[in-house]
Amino acid sequence: MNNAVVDLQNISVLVPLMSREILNDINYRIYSNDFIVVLGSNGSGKSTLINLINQKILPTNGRINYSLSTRKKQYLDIMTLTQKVEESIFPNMSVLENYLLWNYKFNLLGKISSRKLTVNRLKLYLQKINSPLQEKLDTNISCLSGGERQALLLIMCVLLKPKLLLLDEHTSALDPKMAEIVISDTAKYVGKEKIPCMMTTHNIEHALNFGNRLLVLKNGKIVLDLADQEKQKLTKKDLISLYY
Amino acid sequence: MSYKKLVHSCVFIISCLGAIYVNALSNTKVKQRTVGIIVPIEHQALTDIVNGFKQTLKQYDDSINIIVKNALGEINIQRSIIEQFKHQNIDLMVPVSLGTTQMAANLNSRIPIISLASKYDQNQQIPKNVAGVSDEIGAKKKIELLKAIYPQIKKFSLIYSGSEKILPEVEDAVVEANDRGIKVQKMMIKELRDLYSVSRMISDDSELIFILKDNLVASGVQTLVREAKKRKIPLMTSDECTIIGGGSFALGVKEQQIGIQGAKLAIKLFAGANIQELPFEQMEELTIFYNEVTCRKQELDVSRLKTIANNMQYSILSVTQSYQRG
Amino acid sequence: MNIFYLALEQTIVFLPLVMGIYLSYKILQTTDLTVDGTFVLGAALYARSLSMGVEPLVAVLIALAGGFLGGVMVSLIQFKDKVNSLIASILALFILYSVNFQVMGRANISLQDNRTLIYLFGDQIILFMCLISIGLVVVILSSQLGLKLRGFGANKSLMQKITSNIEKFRMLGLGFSNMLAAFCGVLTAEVNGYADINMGFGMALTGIGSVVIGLDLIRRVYRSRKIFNVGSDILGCFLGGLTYFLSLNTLLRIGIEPINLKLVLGVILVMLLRGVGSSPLNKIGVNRE
Repeated sequence: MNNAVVDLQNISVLVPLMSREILNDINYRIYSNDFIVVLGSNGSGKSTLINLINQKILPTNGRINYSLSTRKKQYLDIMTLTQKVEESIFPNMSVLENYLLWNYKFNLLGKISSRKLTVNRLKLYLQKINSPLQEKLDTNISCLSGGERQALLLIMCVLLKPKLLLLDEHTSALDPKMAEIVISDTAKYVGKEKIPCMMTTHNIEHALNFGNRLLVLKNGKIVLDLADQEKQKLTKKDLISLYY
Repeated sequence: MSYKKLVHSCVFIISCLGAIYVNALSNTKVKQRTVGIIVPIEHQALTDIVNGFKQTLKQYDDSINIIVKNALGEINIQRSIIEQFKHQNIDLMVPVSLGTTQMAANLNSRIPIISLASKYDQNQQIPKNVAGVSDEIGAKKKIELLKAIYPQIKKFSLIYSGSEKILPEVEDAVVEANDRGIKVQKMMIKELRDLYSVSRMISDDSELIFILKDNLVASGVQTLVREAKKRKIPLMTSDECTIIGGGSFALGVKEQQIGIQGAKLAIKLFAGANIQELPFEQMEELTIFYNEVTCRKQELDVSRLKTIANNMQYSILSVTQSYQRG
Repeated sequence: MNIFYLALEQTIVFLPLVMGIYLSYKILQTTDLTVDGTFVLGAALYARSLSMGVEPLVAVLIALAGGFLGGVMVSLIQFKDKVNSLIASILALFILYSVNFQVMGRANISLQDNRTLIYLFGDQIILFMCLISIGLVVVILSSQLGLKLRGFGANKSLMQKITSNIEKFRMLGLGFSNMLAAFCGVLTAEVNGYADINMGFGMALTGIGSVVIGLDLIRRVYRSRKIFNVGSDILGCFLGGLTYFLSLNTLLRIGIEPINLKLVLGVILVMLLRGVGSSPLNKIGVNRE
């Protein structure tokens, strides 16, 4: 295995005042080929883990080493999708405009040619995966359904090739059928583009079927950390016994 | 839902058009003199001016149709009013204040204009179709009155704000006072809250406090009233309101008088004078306002004030807190 | 003069300001009342420059620069949303009042004896100037910068994540918005023949009213799902202004008591604003397919 993308060392997170530990002495490494599924019930510390990695919160103890960027706050290096789609879209703008804004390239006036190029890349990609979204590029994004929006965001994330993709229960606001589609798309795109990814869920089926690593959290501690081979041997029964 | 709205808006537009039509019809029937007064904003002083004008003109000819429109401070409305008057082809426009006059003169060079309470700069040419009445008195007359009432006065304190409208008059006042051997302590305030500290710095040998027609200072006149009382010196101001507020005496104009004088110009116009021959006048009738209560306390002899007023051909008016305008 | 022609003429003079407010209110989605002040600032700078013998076109540029700086000042007051946008603009208005007085040197400057734009180029210069301002807005909004300004308005916190510095968008957006207000001030001073310290009163509210009415009208006509189109939005601004002036002139002509004018206009505005709520596109997702 190659170098760790993110290296978590002795991480603890304490809630001030309550002196309850949300995360307790976590040591974990994310490598460049990983599609990690993090399983845990409510309050197990899944989201805290995600927020630690994308630097939304700071650990009380321990340190995190990144090997992805020298610049500290580089949003496009670590991208996060949550169940709150609204946080990640520009409402009342078209799908294409959303994409262009996400593709922010730091030049104010922007060359038309580069804009065309960027647009073409999206069109080609949508064609390749035969997404229904290719018909809706000029639609107001607020008129898309939740599932469509989440699928779109996923595609944009993939196209932008972040160094690390964090998915925090990104399907839990969707209906089961849509959730199934989005999550299998996730696995497909992430695998194809080789983007390191960490996905949290409390759905045991998803945890079993997707990803090449599994991490189970309980009361802020790692109770299970399995890699490829061992993960495939795992059965639902084993998992349930751990989960509860 | 939106269909209903469409119907509503159609009805609205049609009724508007209908009303215009009816209005246009009625316009053609009536053949009487019409005077349009344009007031820039709602204000008691402006209302007094307009009342003076209306009353005088009605006395002259009751059949004159006088329309008063208030622009409520908005330049767009003001323009629409003027255009409206132009459209109605009225016989005379009467804008109150300088800005209104400028707009009326700029938008229309045909209908005669009699401007009230405005003053064109000396180096500015007054448009051909404009005559009017200026409400400024000038520092000279005020200082003359001051000297007449207090022939022995050596020094007074002049308090004024930084507004550019006031500064030329301040300079005039100082020159006029120095010519008569009176020293002036000039004190400028930037904001209202400076007034208190400035009032404490009035020098001890100052024999009178003097303020001009200065909105900022006038709004804090109570501070000066108290200071004048403490030092037992009179407070001379330049308008009626500050005397009601407790000042000693003032040389000013009755706002109504501006309107009356303007109406006299209008009467000349209707009697056949050409607007180009009519002047831009200074106020003829000046008034000394005094506050009896304050004057008595300061041992200022009101009868002497009356004699002086008589000699200088000013009218004189006693105003107190209970005095009602009108 | 024909009532429609009159309203048209007033709208042409007023349009830059409506577009300026459109930039702040619709694109950046902040409420900026500063235009009341920068409108006067533009007129003041223009009139003062002219009276000092500056060439009219140069004077226009000075006024535009002044307006832009006014906008930058508001954005600095708002900086990082430390001050509520409404409060910030009221503060800026406060400051601008003094600035305007200092610029003008007195409460009122007449332009009638100066070499003005109309004097040099004739009446059609106003229409030409208005077209220039439209061109400017089109260029800004169809560029990449325009997209980013809209992104700033639509989701500020996301924009903050994507680019580290969003304050420059606030600065540019409010700068352009107030520059257009100053431009309108120049045109107004030009047409009316003078600049006055109090001429800005009520401009922002009238402008916001025009924007809301106009865009609503446009959205009823074009019910396309593609939301943003520079051309139709500017047409909307124009129609909004025209509606305002048409109703203003009509009401005056009908002979509504002037003192009741604002009441009637206000009620009409409220009716239209309430009407906006029931406009189908404003309910997000209702016409989803």
